[in-house]
Amino acid sequence: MNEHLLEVADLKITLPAGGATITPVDGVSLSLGRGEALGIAGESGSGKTLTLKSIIGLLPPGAFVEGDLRFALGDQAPIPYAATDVHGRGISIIFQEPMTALNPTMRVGDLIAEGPRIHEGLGKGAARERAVELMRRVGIPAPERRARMWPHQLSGGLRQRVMIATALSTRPKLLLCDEPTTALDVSIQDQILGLLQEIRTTLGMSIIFVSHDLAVLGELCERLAIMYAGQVVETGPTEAVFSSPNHPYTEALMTSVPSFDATSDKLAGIEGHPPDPRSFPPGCRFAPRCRYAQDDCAEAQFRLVPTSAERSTGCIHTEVFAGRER
Amino acid sequence: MLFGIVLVVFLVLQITPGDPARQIAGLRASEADLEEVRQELGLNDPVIAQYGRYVGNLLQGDLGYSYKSRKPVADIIGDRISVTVWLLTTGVLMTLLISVPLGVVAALRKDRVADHAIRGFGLLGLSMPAFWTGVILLLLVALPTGWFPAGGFGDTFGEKLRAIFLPALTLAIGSSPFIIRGLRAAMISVMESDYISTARSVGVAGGRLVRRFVLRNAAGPGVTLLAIEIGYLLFGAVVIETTFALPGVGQGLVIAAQGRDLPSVQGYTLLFALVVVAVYLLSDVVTAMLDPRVEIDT
Repeated sequence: MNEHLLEVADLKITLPAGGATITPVDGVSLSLGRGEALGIAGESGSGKTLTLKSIIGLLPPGAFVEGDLRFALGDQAPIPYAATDVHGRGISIIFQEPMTALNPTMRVGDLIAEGPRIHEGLGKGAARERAVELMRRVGIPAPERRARMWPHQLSGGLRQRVMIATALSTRPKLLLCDEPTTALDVSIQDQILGLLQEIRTTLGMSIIFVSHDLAVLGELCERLAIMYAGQVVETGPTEAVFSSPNHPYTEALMTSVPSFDATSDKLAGIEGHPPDPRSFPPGCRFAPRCRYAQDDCAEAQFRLVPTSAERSTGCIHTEVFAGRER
Repeated sequence: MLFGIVLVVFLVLQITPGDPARQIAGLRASEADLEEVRQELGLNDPVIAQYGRYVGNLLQGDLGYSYKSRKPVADIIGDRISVTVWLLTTGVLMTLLISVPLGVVAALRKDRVADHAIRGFGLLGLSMPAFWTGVILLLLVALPTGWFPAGGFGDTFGEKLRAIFLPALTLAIGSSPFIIRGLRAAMISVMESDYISTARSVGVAGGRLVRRFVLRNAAGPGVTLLAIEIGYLLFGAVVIETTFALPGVGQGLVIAAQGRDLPSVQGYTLLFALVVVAVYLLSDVVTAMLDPRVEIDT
C-alpha cells in the first residue's frame, strides 16, 4: 500500500475580484499520509479555507485552479483527479457554521441519507436506517426521533454532529474540517474534538483540520502547515513546530496566544495587518511585519526549503532561530 | 382590515363628482324626477346613515342594487365571476409554466448566454402593456389561424379553454418576468449558501440538487412574489377582459364605473380587495408548508 493518500503540488487559486484577479492561494504544496491528521493554521484570509475547498472541489464559480492534485482512491499511489470527482467518493468536509450548513427544509435524517441513496443505491427505508445508525455513531441521543427533526430544532452541538454524520455517510478516507469547532461553546468544542479524534482512530481516516486556533490543532494533529498570505510558510511535526518554530510568523502566531501564566496583561498581537491579496509584497510576504526582517527578505524568491527530514520553512534567515529552544 | 377597505371604497365614491340620480333618470329628467330617484335610493340621507345601511346590508351578503339594471350587485358579480376565475387561474398556471423553468435556467446559467437571453425577453415582456400584447396576439395568432375566438366566452369546457388561452397568455407574458427575476435571485442566493456546499460534498448534483435543495428553499420567496403578482393580475384582468371582450368582473367594473353605478363599483372593489387579502393569507399558509421554520400563529 502506498503511504500517501493526498498530494497537492503548486496549488494556485485565482479569483475574480471586481474587474481584477487575485491569487489568494499561491503555490501551496501539501502531502498527507494515510491515517494522518494535518493541521493548517493561519489568520483569516491566509488561504487555508480556499485550499481546503479546492481539495474537494467546492470553490466559488469563477475560481481558477492550477497545480496538481492527487488522491489515492484505492491502495495505489495517489492519481490526479478532477476535484469534482471526489464528491462522495473518498473525501468529505465539515464546515464551520452548523447553523447554515444543513438544509433548513430537509429533515436531518433525510439529509444524512442522501449520500447512501446516491452512492450505494439504497432505498428510502434502508437509507433512513443507515442515517439513524450514523447518528448513533456520532453520539446523538435518541437518533430515531431526532432523524425526523428539522435542523432548526437542534442545538449547535447536535447540528455539528449531524454534519459529521453526513460527512461520514459516504465512508470517506479523508475528512476535511473547516474550523468545525469555532462556532461552538467551549464545552461542546471539546466534545466534538473528542468525537473527531475517536472516529479518526477507529475508522482509520485521514484528517485535514483548518483552524486559527493552535491549541485545537495541537490536540488533534500530528503535523502542521502554517499558512500566511496564500503560502505555506512552515511545515513540520506539531511538537517540533510548537517547541522551536522555524519561521518568524509561526513564532509570532504562538506568542499571540494568550496564556494564564503570562506575566504581562497586554495581549501580544502581531504588528501591522495581513497583506492585501491585490498587492502582495515582493519576496517574503511576512517581511513587512517581521521583527527579524533584513534587506534581502524583500528580494529573495519565496521557496519552502527543507531544514530536516520532516520540516521545512520559507524563511531565508533561519539562523535567527539557531540555538533557541522554547 | 376588510372594514377599512369598505370605508375607503365608500368614501372615495362619495367624494367623486357626478350625480348618480342624473345617470339613472337621464339627461332630460326634470328636477322633480331626480329628487324622486334620490329619495328612493336614500341619497338624501346623511353620509353616516348611508354608510351604516351599506355595512349592515353587507354583513347579510347584500351588496345593494345596481342603479342601472336594478338587479342585486351580488347577482351581477356572480354572473361574471367564473370568467375571471378562469382567466386568473389559467393565467397563474401559465405564469408558473413559463417562469419556473426559465427562472431555474437563468439561475443555473447565471451570466451566460441563456441567462442574458431570458432577461432580455423578460424586459421585453415587462415593457409591453397588456392591451398591446393582447391586440398583437389577436392580430398575429387569433385572426390568421382561427384557432381562438377574438372575443367572448364559451359554454363547454373546450370552448372556454380556447377562449381563455390568449387572454391568459397575455396575463402570463406580463407577469412572468417578475417571477423569473425573483426566482432567479432567490435561487442564486440559495446556491451560495453553505448547505448547498454540504449537499455537493456528499455527491448530490444535477436535478436532484436543484429539486431537493435549491428549489425547495427558493420557493418561499417565489410564492410571496407570486401572491403580490396576483394582486396586480386582478387589475391586469380589467384591461385584458376589455381587450378580449370577456364578460368577467374586470369588464363589469369598467362598465359600472363608466355608468356611475356606485353600488356595483363598490361591490367589485370589495371583491378585488377580498381576493387580494385571501391570496396573501393563502401565500402565508403555503410558505409555512414549504419552510418548517415558519409557523402560523393561530
